[in-house]
Amino acid sequence: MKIGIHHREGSFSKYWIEYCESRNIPWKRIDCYKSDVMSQLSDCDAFMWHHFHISPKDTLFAKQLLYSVEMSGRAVYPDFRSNWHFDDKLGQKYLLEAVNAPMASSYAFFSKHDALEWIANTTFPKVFKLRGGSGSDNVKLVKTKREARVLVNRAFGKGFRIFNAYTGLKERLRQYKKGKADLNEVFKGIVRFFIPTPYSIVHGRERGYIYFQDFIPDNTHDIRVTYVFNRCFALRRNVRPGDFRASGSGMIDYDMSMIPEEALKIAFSVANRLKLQCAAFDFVLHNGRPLIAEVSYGFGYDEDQFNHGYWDEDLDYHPGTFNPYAWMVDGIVFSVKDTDD
Amino acid sequence: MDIKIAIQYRNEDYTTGWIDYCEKNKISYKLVNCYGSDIIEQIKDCDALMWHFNHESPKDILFAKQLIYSLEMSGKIVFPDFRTCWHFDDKIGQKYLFESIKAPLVPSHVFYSLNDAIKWIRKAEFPKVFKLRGGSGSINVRLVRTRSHAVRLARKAFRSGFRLFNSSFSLKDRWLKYRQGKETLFGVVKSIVRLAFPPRYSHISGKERGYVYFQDFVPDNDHDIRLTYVDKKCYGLRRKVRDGDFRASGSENYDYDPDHIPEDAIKIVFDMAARLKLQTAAFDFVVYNGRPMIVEISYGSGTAPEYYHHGYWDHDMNYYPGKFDPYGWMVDNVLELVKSGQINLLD
Repeated sequence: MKIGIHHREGSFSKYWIEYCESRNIPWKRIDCYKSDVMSQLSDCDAFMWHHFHISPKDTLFAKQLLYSVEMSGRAVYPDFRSNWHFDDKLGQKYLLEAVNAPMASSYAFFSKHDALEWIANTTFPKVFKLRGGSGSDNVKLVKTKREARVLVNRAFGKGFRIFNAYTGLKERLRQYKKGKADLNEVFKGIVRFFIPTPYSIVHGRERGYIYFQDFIPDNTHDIRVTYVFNRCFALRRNVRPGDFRASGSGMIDYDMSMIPEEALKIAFSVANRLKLQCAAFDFVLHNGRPLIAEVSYGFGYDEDQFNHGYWDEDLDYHPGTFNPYAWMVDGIVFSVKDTDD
Repeated sequence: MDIKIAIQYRNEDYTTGWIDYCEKNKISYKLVNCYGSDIIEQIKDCDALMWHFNHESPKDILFAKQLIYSLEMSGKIVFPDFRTCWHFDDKIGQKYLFESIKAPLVPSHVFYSLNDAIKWIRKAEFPKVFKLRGGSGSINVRLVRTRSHAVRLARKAFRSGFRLFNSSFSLKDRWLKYRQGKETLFGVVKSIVRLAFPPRYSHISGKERGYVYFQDFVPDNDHDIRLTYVDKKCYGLRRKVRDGDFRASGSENYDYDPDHIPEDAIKIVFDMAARLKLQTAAFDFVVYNGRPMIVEISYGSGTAPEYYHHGYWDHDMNYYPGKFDPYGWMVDNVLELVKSGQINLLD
């Protein structure tokens, strides 16, 4: 048994490799960007790649490469079920609705006429989102019908850049003021007004659709429950001061007594129903009931994230430090053995 | 068991073929609007969804595959399903897919950095065929005879990029067809307008950049062979390349003689479709040293009534001459999948 791993600095792969080394699990370094990647993988039984939605190269073919290896009958991480809807809120709308998961109601329109008709008959505020982007990029609170109509005109006109230089700079300034970013970072934010990110250039503009989600008021935090191969860990993220967005705020609360059991149950239930390997669910509370705002297979992490225990499928809590990257490798090794049997 | 199929209406052959077959055979169906935000609600009372989505529709490219995957993951039968459609209009995806199962694919090369591309170009033999990952009817396909031409294309791919709709090729092609009596003057005029106003789908998909794709050029093919697989049956034709050109797709110059279809190609189709568990696929082949090799596949393809007048083969290679109805086969395939509860997702 051998696992092919694409290594990228700052990604999960470092921990996968460490774990493989410590357990003598055979692995091989793969360079996915080479045209001969399939022959590199020819002696591998499994393939793991923590691809990144902001890498212009990865967005061009990572999903396609993973689907192909999976269709050849080999285990992959992330697999199709966990992966296809990554960084795609539009896809998630359909997916979560199709399995009747408790989610914040979402609305998608592919014509200006349909969107305007809906705006005329709905109430505001609503949350406008582009389908892609993380850390609250491309998310905006829309307070009035007029604001919504302006966005619709733009969506069906010149469209939106997936990277918004203005909100990017604002966020860098906020981080700078808190001492979490240096002046160089702020300078980079200014440069982005003139030179878009390579990812944004390859991606092109977002247009031809508009997406809104119901605004769920009175949430001072969102709750992130991350499911990884039959276990869940969790945290809460404060919303930014004077804002409603929590994702990417960097203000994290690890008090596990504040995680609603209902959110854990939903995470386990949706992950089991969709047969996911891994999914970070973001929840907001509506009248005390957790609703999924979005889901992603990949998750950012800080050093402290894995020191606060996890829950198993019976909702038993296991305190202390854990290694979710090892769970991923173990999950893949198990899938390979399962296929061999 | 009373099965109901949801069908997204489109005024074209697949959709009308499905509806006619359902009407004739008293199969319960319902027309739905996939573009509505409430589509999941619309199809709650249906067991399956059939949608011949179009890679040149600015709306369809935004969410058709996503809707299909969602329904399939929720346990509904869809046509086309994930296995059949994820690689549609995506030659890069097909390169990986065919290589992963060691299919006889014309060797294909893809690069995600200019440096890698140029290193390869320096050592490669030319001519090669340059392609964008998307586009049908040969529209984004060029023969590259020299290294310097390949370098120019690679530089463009990593700088300004390419539009998915090649307006000058489209105009030339329509003009040629007009002179052969296969296109109207109106069609030619439309192509002239397209020089200034590209189609909407080309705007929505944006420019193609950040990669460059070449396929080996297989010489001495005055035809390509198109074989279409639908639910364990296969039919086919040969398409003559355009005069003074190497591209056959979209030429509309067809040879339906079944004796001209190599048996090996039919066997490859059945083998690939079974291994990949496809519902349907149109395979394009060229012949290299007497051996058929796959150029590309697509789940949906252009249609004309005479495609279905020249017989088909079954899985045991028996040939059945005469007319047939592939749209009926598609509906039957969906009914069979609903009855068996079989979802061919990756598990």
